[in-house]
Amino acid sequence: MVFGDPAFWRAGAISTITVMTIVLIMLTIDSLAAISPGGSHAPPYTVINRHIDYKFDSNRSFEVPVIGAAEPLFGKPLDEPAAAVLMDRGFYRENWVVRPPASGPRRYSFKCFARR
Amino acid sequence: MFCAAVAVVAVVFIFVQYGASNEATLWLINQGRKYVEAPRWTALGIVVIMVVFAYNVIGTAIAARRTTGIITVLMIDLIPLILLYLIAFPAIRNMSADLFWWWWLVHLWVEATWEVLIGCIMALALMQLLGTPRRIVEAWLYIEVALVLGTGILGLGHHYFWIGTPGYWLTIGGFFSALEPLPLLGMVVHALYDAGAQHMKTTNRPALYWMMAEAFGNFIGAGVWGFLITLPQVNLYAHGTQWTVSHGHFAFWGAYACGILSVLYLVLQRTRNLAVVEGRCGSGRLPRSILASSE
Repeated sequence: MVFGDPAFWRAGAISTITVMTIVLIMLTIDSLAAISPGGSHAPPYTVINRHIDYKFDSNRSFEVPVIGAAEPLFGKPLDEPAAAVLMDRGFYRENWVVRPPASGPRRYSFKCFARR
Repeated sequence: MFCAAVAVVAVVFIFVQYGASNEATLWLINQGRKYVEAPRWTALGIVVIMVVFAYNVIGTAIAARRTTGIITVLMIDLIPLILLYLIAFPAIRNMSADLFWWWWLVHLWVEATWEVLIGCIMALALMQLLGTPRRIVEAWLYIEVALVLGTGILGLGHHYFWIGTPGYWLTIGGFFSALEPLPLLGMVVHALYDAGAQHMKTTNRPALYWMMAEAFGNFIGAGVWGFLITLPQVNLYAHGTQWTVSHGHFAFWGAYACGILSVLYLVLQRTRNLAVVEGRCGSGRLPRSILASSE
């Protein structure tokens, strides 16, 4: 009986994995394009020059980010390379300093622009 | 050396915890990403261990000049298992892209390659424990591999609901994730069918019972608990809550801890040269037999 033959199920497994892997690769290519800075689902890094807010979207039933008017993060607008550098610095947090408060939890502040 | 490495990591995690978030922190304290927090030196060690394990398995098959279906599946599975872990290393600037690839590691490890590895171990264990014919075990293994990867590869989409990825992941992730309990249910059916066919006769009762606990625990913890929170309509509210933690820990206990306990009993039986391991509660036969064989 064909259903009792391991070769039948092996062929099924190989076919299934092949199809699913190809679909995943195609969707990955499309998704990475969408979420790259400036893509359809992610703004460029210069978005830090704008006011960013969250507002409830009744159609989607959850809060979504809303990009508003110009509002530079540190008082002056940044171009794309400078904004990208800032992202890296934020990633490594090497310019974050801890300010021990008199009481309560620790607070973090960003001082990289003071250095620049 | 392994124990010393684990001890050093544990001490650093408990007493140091975080650093200046520079390269030294990534190398010596932790990499800061959930589930792959291990500092880089330890992560490299994990890669080395996996490569050595793969070398042993593949090298043994080559030296023996023959292979079986189970070993072939295991050898092929070890390749993506190692490659996927390499995603633990790069620091990607774009947070969405970082999470996208990071889920390839976390999801495709635990819900694809590790599940296939467990399927292989279960197949080998059931042959040892129940004397199930290889033909039946291998047919079941291929079915499980098809179901695990057929649902798990695109089931990856249930991690892409809220990280900025396109909306089609809501449908794809929800649909394939809903099917993900199927292979785990298949493992339960496989274990029960084989045990019933052999009238529960085995030479190692603790190993068999832990293996059945593995199948049930995996199905309930990973399959049922996972299904509860996997649909986007539910996940919108359950995301990042204790539900996820319960699912993850229950799945880990079922899928891996019970499986390891089962294999430990099998190894114990071999190394102690025990013909039968009864393991009856309160009888003390197992401890006595172990003590007797070690004298």
